[in-house]
Amino acid sequence: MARMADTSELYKYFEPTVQHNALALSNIHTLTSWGVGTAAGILGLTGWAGFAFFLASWAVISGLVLAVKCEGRPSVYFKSSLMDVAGTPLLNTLLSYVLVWTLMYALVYIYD
Amino acid sequence: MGGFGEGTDQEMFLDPAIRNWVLFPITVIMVLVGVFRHQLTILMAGDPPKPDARDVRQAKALLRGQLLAQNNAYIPAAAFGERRRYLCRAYEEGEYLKNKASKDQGAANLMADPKAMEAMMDGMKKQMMGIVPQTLIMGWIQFFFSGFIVIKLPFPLGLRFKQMLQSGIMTPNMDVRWVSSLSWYFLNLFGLRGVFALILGGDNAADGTRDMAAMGSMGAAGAAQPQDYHKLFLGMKDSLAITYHEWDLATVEQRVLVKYGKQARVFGAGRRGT
Repeated sequence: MARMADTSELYKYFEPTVQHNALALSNIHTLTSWGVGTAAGILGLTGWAGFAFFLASWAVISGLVLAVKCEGRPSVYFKSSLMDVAGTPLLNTLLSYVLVWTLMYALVYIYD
Repeated sequence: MGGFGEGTDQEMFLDPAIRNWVLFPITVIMVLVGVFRHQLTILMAGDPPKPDARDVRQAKALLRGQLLAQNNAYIPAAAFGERRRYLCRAYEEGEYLKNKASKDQGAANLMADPKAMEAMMDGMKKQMMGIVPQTLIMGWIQFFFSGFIVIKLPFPLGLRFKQMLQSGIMTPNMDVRWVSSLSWYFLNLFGLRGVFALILGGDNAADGTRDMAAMGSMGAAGAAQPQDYHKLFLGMKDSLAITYHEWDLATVEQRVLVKYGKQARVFGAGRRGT
């Protein structure tokens, strides 16, 4: 479908499918943020170390999503390919990571 | 901070009873309230109002123009030209408008249309349903769980937050990282968004953070603005008029030959531009 590609970028994507992909991505990030947050909490990371740990895991997971789930071609699945995969879900995932990180850190190190 | 706590870690352990009776209940209740709210919203929404036949026709007329522009390559030039001519004329004369007489008056007044009024009330109802439980939980947490430390944040925060995060605790020397239940509530409020998306689907109504935004702009825009279809029609007419038509089958022999390797791509740009 080379024709569609160069005639109209506008009509290339079917909206419900794009939304479904975004939801799948968000679920991946939620689940992995629990795992990563648990790891950070149990390791006892505090302060910037925890955020650096999150960013490192973010890079790894985004890379995996790009390479495995999107088969290296994110523009097939997302509108603004790289931004949608690695940029947009960042804040939500960070918040959910902070929640789990705080919880696990407290459970391991703070409570008697 | 001043005092003894400066720079050093304050060693302190919390009673496991606090964990069992405060930390976990707050999280569990927030998840449950989110699910409850989602179900309540579905229940309250009921059946969507039945659209008028003229409303549907109006919307579909616009959609038809869009589809024509989108798929112009799949019909021959004559067929495209005819459809375009017909649609442009219909758009210009407002043939498909809901009420043709008022096509020059711009968007109808919001209050005049009972349907728009109803939609606005619906929006308000939804907003209220979001804000009320959120406020209730916040009040409940402040009432029951104020006055003791619940958790220690693993990252430092500025002294400015002390007032907010340690509300109800009168210890000026305590590190800001020790926070009370209200902070745990806020952590949950923002952190559980992904959980709701996971268990309730993408367009769930459980998300509490949207209500925070809604509280700020209360009543500013309760419902979607009514659309002026005449203007939309004229815009669609313009974009139809400038649509460049090229039939897909015009160069098909060339493409087949290229595809099966019988002919090199002599036409430079390839499939297009010949």
